[in-house]
Amino acid sequence: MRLRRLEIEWIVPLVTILLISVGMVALYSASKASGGGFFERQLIYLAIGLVFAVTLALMPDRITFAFSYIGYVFILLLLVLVLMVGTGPTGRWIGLGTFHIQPSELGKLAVIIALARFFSDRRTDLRKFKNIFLMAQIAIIPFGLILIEPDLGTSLVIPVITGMIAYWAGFPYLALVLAVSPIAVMIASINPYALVVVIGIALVLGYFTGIRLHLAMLWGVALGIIGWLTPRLWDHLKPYQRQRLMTFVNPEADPLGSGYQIIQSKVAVGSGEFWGKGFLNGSQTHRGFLPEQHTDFIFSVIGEEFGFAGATIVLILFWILIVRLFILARKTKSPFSSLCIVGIASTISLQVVVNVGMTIGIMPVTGLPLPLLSYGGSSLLTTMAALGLATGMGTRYRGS
Amino acid sequence: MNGDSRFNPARLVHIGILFTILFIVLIVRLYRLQVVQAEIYLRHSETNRARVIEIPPLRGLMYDRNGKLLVDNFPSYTLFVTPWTIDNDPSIRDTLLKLTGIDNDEFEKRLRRIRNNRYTPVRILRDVPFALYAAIEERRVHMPGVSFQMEPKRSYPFHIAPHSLGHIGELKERDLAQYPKQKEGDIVGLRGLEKTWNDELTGLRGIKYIEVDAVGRIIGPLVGTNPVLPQPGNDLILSIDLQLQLLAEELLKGKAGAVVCIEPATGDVLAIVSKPDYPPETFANVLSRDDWQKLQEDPGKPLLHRAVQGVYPPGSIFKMAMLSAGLESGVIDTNWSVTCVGGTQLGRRWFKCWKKSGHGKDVIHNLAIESSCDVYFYLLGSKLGIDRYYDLISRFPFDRRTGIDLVHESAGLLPSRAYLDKKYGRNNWSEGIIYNISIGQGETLVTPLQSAVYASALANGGWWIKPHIVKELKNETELIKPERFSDRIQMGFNPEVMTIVRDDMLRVTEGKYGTAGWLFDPRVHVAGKTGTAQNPHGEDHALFVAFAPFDDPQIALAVVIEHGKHGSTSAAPIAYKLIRQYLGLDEHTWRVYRSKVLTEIANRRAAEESNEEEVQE
Repeated sequence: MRLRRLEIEWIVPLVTILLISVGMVALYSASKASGGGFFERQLIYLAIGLVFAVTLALMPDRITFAFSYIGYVFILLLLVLVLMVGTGPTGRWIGLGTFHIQPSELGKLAVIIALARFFSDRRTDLRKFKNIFLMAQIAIIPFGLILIEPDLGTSLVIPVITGMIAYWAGFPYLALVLAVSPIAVMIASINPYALVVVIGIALVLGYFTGIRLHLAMLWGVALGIIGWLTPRLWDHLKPYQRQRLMTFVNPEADPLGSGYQIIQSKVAVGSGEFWGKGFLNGSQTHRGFLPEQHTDFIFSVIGEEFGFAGATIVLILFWILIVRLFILARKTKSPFSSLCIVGIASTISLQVVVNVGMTIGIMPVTGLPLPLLSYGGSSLLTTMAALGLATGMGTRYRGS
Repeated sequence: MNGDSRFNPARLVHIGILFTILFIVLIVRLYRLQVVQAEIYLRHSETNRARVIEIPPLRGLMYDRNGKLLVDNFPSYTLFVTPWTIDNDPSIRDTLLKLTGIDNDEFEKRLRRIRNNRYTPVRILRDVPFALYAAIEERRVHMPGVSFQMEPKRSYPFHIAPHSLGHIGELKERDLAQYPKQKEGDIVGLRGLEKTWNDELTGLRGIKYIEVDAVGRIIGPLVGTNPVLPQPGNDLILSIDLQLQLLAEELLKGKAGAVVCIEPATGDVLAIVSKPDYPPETFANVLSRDDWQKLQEDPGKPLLHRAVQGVYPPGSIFKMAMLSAGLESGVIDTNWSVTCVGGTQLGRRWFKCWKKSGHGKDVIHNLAIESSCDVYFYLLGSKLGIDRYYDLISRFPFDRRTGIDLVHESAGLLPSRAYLDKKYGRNNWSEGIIYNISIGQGETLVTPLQSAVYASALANGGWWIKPHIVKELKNETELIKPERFSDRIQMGFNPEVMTIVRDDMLRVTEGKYGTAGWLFDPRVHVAGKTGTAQNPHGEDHALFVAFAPFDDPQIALAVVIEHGKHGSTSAAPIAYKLIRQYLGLDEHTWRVYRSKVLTEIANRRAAEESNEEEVQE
């Protein structure tokens, strides 16, 4: 008999450390430019984050499992609390002495763990409507609470990761088509051709996933009505109502609508060229043209000072991290662990795509931070804790 | 996932592929931006001189209830400096220091106020005098990063109510928490209505994008951008009646004290005066440290808003509250009487009545109020006892703030058993304390504003109103009634009790023995009560509360004159003039009412006398 070799997961921690290091370098530059002492504060958060990560990595899975629902309810209470006593410029923080926490960041992790527990139960048969309803329930409550903070960016992460976890848990294709197509139709209704194409795709997919022909016709008509109504309802709104809705959808948006932030960010990134202007040499960063350069637009600093090479390396590091997490999710024997890891990996990828997309002008300004790199205690701590958890879960119960 | 049939590994691959595609899109896009189009953006970055400039909104104005302008804006120049240009060229600093006369430390402090941004212009000096403006403007070619912005400054057409109107100023870091919507350096309301209604007055700031040259001088608006225009703040329509306010200010000139006039039905504050005060412009201009110190150290305390912050023993004006409590409790009825021989003995102490010769036998409630007999109330207080006293008297919530829309309001004090136990030690206080508080002296304290609300409550039959100075908000298109407008509490006294107390108050001005008999005006029935607040530090304070007309009260008021000795001689005449002014009673109408009211009063006296005779029989 041979002792099983203890395999310690080292790729995830290594890549995480690399990403954090890049982030700290960029933050140092941004902090030097604006002189806000963000670098020093981020170091403190980093130290706390490390403790969190190690603690969660060493924590037995059954404890995470046991606390999954309790933790979820606790976070819901925090989210309600922040609505009542929220502080900070956008009212999204709860003050704890000199530190502030942003419960919406914790909310994402809580939803992942709660959903993982729900789906890991063998009795959860996703072909039953009851279970789909329960799943939606777990996601919608925190989604709604974060939405009315208002923090649309963060709140939209929840339905997307819910979808990812559900997909991994075996969510029926048909249900997926039924759930996604109305939203796609509403978005596509801006353009009549796009609308026809989207309805067509929805029907074809519906047919192949098992919807019967006459029901498919009915479904097509329903989608058509949705597509026809959406622009009319929109036109029916008074201009100020539309404005209000737009502001709600995108509160951080430049009031001009000329995309001042986006323009400045694109100029910073674009002027970085292939090799970048060099550390501390970014003229946009250091002349104060970049808005929010230490938080949401930290990637612009990387783009300007380290160029296409640096920016691509960051993206590749993220990609390695995510792929490695998916491999861990595939290997582990525990359904609960696997679902948690997929949820965590999806959250990180989604935020990277949205945040980087925003800084290069292909995504709206939503105020989502870049995980591990943006300045901000709540985001850094939650991401590090989540990665600690995933690493621990991936190391245990490994298949042979 | 091995060993669980529900999990299909292919699905994991799907998600992986989805994200991989998205990452590839990002990288392709980055390549386009940083390699293909890099030259365009590089050029942009070299010529990038775009700056965001805030356009401050116009602050709302204040009007009196009849639309007279009380607080206005007028333009003034504010000097702004962009910190990084000073870092580049320290000679600019020297020039500015020499011209403005600001010392280096102070300049540095103002310049570094916005800590994490060296590129935003910082306010250095408000309300720059024209000579200085011209001097700097002349040299501005050599001083990049120095600019002027027009900022409205407050002006006051009338010298009235500086404490209540309040003033505006720059938001300091330590006060940031009080103004969640504003940032350091913004102009905000710091005191008075300017502070309470700051959010309404402020409006929304606009933004414009401008282009600057290499040294930060403004070239013009950034091409392709449109400014967002600021939205002016709401105007405040005050409930103040300018004519009444002006008269009250005039009448209190040279005295120390306060006047508050209220419309008893609504809680509209018609006039609110606190003297001594300071010119309203004091804080609109840049106040030197010396002037500020002088104001703070002035023994007359001009900065104190006596009407809402000053606390005084109510003295005899408290007797209506005592009588209401007595009658409501059932401890006494309208026939209960005392004998006043100029005082009463309690243990070894002699408690004096203000009238040395005494009020004689059979002093009942109406004579007790009319002639302000202290003995009646000593004995009433003693009969009630501290617990019943507090239970009923606190229906007049003198120990709570009225909730007027002014900051830093004080509350008065009504001593309870718990309070006295705490102050003197458990049961270590005598009956004498109750005697004292029963005539409104000792521990009992009220503010002039509370006294006016008290007079309103007696006028309107038992509603404790929440007074307000702002009646309506006005924006370009509509008038908005603030929510707090109609708050009032029913105090829960039997209406008959209120009627009795009101009738007794009328006798103060119209009765044979009334302490304010000469305030009697044949044209209008005025109910009132004089009071004298004992002042251990000097002459007693004089108080007077009143409301009129008796049958349909339009105005209730309280007058407090510090060191005024007697309410009847110093406070009451002021109240009288204010009432006449507000009700529009000039000399001309005098004759019209004279005979009518005189007959009425004669009849009533006759009726009372015949009643008394019947009782005697």
